[in-house]
Amino acid sequence: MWLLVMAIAATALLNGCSLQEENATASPAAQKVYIAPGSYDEFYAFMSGGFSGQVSVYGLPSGRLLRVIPVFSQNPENAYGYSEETKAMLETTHGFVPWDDAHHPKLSQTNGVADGRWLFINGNNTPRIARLNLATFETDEILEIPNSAGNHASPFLTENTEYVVAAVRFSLPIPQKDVPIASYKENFRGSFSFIKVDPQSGHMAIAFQILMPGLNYDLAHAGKGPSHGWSFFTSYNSEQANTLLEVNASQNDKDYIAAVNWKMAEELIASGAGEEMAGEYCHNYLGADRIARSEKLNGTKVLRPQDHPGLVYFIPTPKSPHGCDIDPSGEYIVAGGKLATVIPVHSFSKMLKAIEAKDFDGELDGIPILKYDAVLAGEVQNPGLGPLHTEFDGKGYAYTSMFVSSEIVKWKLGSWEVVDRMPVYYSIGHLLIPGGDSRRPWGKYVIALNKITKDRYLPTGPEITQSAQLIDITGEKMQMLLDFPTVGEPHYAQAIPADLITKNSVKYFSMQENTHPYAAKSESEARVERNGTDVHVYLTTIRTHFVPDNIEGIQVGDKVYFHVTNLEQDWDVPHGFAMIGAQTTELLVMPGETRTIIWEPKRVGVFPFYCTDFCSALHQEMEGWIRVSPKGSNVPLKFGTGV
Amino acid sequence: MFQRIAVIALVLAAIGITAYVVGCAGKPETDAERLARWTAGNFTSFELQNGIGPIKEKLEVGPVNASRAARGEELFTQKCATCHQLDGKKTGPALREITKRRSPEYVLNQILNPDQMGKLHPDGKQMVAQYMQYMTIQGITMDDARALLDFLRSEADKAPQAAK
Repeated sequence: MWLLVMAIAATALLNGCSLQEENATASPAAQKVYIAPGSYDEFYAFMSGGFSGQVSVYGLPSGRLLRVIPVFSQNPENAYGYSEETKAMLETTHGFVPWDDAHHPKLSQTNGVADGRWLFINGNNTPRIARLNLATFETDEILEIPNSAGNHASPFLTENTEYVVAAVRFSLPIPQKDVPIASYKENFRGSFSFIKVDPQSGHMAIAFQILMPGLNYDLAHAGKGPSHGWSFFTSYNSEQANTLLEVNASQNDKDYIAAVNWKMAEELIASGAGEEMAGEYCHNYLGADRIARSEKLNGTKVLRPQDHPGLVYFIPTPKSPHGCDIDPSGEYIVAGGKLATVIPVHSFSKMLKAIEAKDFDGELDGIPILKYDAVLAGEVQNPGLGPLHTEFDGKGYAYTSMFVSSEIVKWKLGSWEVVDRMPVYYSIGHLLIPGGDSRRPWGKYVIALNKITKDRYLPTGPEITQSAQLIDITGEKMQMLLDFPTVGEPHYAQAIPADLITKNSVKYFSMQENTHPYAAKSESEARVERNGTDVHVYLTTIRTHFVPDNIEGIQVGDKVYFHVTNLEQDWDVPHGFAMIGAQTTELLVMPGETRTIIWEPKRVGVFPFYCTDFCSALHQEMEGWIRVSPKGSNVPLKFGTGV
Repeated sequence: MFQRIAVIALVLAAIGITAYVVGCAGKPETDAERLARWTAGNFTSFELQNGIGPIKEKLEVGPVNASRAARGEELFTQKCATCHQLDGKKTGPALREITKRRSPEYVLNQILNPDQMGKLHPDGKQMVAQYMQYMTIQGITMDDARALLDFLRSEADKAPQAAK
């Protein structure tokens, strides 16, 4: 009898435990990423689109995609790169280049912590750096970099956004020269570019370049705290091979991290050092009138490390390193050797001692090579296969992405022991901890940015979006919370508490402050003006009509400029404008803004235009017509609405 | 029986007195409380007649100020004429006689707080239903609104013009 009672009790207890355990593993993950309808995520995340040329904006922890910002790519949705006001943004010394491989978004920092003002990102192919304004979520500026190619170790910012730094991944003759490719060792060079950032406007200007041996400089980070004033660059191809690099650039046991004393460089330049080197480049930026202009500049100040002992040192590091990550204290420099069996951790303070003691292991092209052991702080043993990037949680732990073994490895700074592993799906390239590259990480989540997706989501043909996972790192063990697809191919990402950005977010552009030369700031200013065969239509739009919406006196062969001003002064009321036959996109015009496209009518007739963005109940009625007469016709210029 | 009724009556009276005292001595209504009240469809007689928004009590508007009216005309052209004419319907209603049909306070609240007027106020909602449009926000200040009011008052008794 009692045995039966005990058996029943035991069964109930077991069931209870089982249910409890089940709940414990199932519901908290969903709860931790759930953001109620109408509520906001805690963080913004900014991810590069790689070959999409764009930046995507997510909310975390929900993983919701909020926006895709065009940077190096044209965007037909809002006419970026198509409108007359924005085409200049994509100008280069090669001509109009409306695409790039956008790799590394970096948030501007103050005292080593993200401040929410700007986001910088590199174009890998046509060497450029863009600056995005985080009040408008627009590209404000793009600077081309001369004497460069494969602008990959870029755009890494110094601690107070003094400089944006860029380096060459594909070395080449500098300056350019017609030489045999097999003369790589003799003729090819790399360069490091230090670009000054104006603290108020964010505007970029090339301050100086450092001419380096012809290696492949891959990634970089600036020092912080005690290592502020130095920047560090990983490189591969210490063999200086020029073909079949997968074999020929993987021969040596070690490659190098270049350590640059940029404070010293700054002082040298200020004292008049550095030779002037020719090199054309474009500087494109949005003016106060919200029109982009492109300036062609020439020449940079160049420093040669051989002429300035102490400027640059090489630190050997296990072969084929990718990531170059500095811990929050600024002491540890972590490389991720793609083919290495350990994660090497180099010490900044040991580096200084080794320099002072001249603890060198020869030199490369006149630049001293420090001894590996003299600079080493420790090695993480048996971390996994294919280390790439490392970020930090601010609690003494580092997290490294392992491409080949497809996991994130958590290890302890100082003891170098691996304390946790988390499989990710699949073949993780990069990872993000909010502030994980700063002096004070917000160490709540790590996000895996994977290169291969396969079966994570519903299939979409041969092409599948890349895959990301959101992982909780507040406990001792990592906990996976969410899977979400990403745009293009993220190569890096940054995250920041949302309130640092939302407080500055622009809702509309003030009509009073619209200084566009073709703005019509009220309907009474709307008009059509002929200037030879150029016709300027100063057109206004507001719910629910255009002024003018009837235009006559246009002729075949005219070049018609539609300058569309949105008269709305309210949040989220853009108006679109599309013209049949225009060999370009529509316009999408924000409240208070003026934007322009060109139409060159080729046929006689009457042609409609309309608003593309559904803005109100009578949006369908936002339309108009333009009468096109034969060339030389006597039809008078006439325009209006409602008559 | 009667004693019980008497006790209940006393209690109710006490509650009533308490409510009255608290009501009289209560703190001013917060914005959130006001919004909740409007959302529930509860409006004061002032609000029903004079709209909801920054104007919360009767104003002394005095005679039309000519220079202010001139500035109001300029503002009307820039900001209001996109949707309104003095005579004839456009996106919204004709406005010549608006100051004869509505109090100055109503006109000001409609100009300064079109979003809540259109979404919450019974007369405002009716206008939205008729015109299928919320009045747009145009970044108009209190001074601007007073100038517009003077302009509209100055036009109220003039003869209608042919619609443009």
